[in-house]
Amino acid sequence: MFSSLTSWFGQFFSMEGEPYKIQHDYHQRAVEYLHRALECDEQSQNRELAIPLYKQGIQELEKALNLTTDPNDTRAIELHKKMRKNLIMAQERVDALQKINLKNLSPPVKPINK
Amino acid sequence: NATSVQQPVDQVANLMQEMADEAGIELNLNIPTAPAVGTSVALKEQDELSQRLAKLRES
Repeated sequence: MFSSLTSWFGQFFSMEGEPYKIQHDYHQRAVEYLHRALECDEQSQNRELAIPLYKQGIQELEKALNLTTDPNDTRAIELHKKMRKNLIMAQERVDALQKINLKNLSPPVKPINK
Repeated sequence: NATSVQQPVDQVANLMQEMADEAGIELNLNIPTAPAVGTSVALKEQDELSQRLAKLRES
């Protein structure tokens, strides 16, 4: 009886382990940074500010992706996949923005007329 | 005899099951369902990020 009761309770405690919570916390922080980055980026006014925010979001995603996910936890795996996709997309966006910034910063090339 | 032993065990089992059920309601609310909801929200949030990033890539 006791063993059945402990297993009954056990299922609730073992269902959500600590790694899942950590993954979720990193996800949450990543989303906060990326939301702010996207707001700056979408308005096309604060693109310089968007870059560091994207980078902070990417860092949080990396931390989440470095965690080992339980192969039996389908939700954690799905979240992991989606975070990986967004990590790549955010990184691509940072690269694109940096290129735009470089173009804008470089002095205009004046043709030399002799 | 068998029944006199059996009965208290059943009563205790029932009582413990009742307590477990009571705790189960709270545990159901606080532990298993909350992260499940949290995950579906998390998955949606990630999808939303993907969509917004994809839009910027097109522009």
